[in-house]
Amino acid sequence: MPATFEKVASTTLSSPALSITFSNISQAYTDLQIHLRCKAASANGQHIYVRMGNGSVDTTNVYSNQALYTRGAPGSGTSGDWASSFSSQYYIPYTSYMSSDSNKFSAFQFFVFNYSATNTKKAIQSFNNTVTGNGSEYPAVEYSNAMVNISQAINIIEFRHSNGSINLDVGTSITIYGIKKA
Amino acid sequence: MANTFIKLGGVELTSAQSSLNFTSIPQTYTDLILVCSLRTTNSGDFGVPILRFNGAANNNNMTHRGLMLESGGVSGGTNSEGLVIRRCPGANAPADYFGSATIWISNYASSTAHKFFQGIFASPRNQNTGSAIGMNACAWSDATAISEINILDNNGNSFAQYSSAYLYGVSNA
Repeated sequence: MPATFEKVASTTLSSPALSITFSNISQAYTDLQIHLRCKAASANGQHIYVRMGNGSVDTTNVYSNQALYTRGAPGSGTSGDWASSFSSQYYIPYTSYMSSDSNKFSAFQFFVFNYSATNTKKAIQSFNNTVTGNGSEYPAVEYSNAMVNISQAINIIEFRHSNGSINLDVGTSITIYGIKKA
Repeated sequence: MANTFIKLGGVELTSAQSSLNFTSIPQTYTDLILVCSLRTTNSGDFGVPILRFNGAANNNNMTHRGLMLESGGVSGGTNSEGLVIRRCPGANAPADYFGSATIWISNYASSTAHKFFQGIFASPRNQNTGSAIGMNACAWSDATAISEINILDNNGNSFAQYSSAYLYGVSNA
């Protein structure tokens, strides 16, 4: 039986870095499933920005965002949905951060469907489990998705903290897996 | 390139049992994925499956938060159940109805990081009240590597015959 779920690339940070970029992503698969385990090196800004493209990441307003979520302390948390018009990044909300959450890494599953197609826009979605609260440990769950207005095959994906000057911390790990239909 | 989605174990009950268990889980993968098909012997419409790790006797250090489309809406709690599944059919559900769930356990073999796991589930109830569906995130505030997974019913009921669970390892190596 052919292998249908294979590792394509993986990076684990041994020192803090502003971003993790995967380039020259193999075009041999149908879909990508990406596992993120991440933590920021400090507070001030909360999200992980994701951008992608062909040859270079697209920083124009090609990423829509919408989500269902629930987060916060038991009994006082919030839940709901949100959406945005096309913007310059897809964002995965609320990564944990170093100062109060030293042993807590947010966990995200991120999917890029039909990423190697050259004639269709790209649908992406993520399923997120993160830490909320300053030093507390309240999980938050969010399902978010987007339409990426790029028809070219995706061969580069970048992950960075929403605050451009905050590092992703040591131990942050991202692995891309390829899924084949053939 | 090696296939990285490897079945580590599986169980299908031949008679009602109080738990489905995976023990001596290899520590050589990055993440675990658990796929379940469950039904309890609870006399009501549904059961409440939970996860515990390493043979824990209680739900201490478990926190969850979730969204469920049923009648309950949002839930959350500390020192509460590992409510990553939350619903499966009970004895009042039509025969042969089983609920499904997929659970992802990140970084399970770490001995320094707390464990975060999340899942989606769907549980048929009966013809009149439809299904429950939802997504849940759980935290286990314990840095111990996970070597055992126990699937239990939070009300102490048994799981019905043909309930099943399969565990897969995913590696970034």
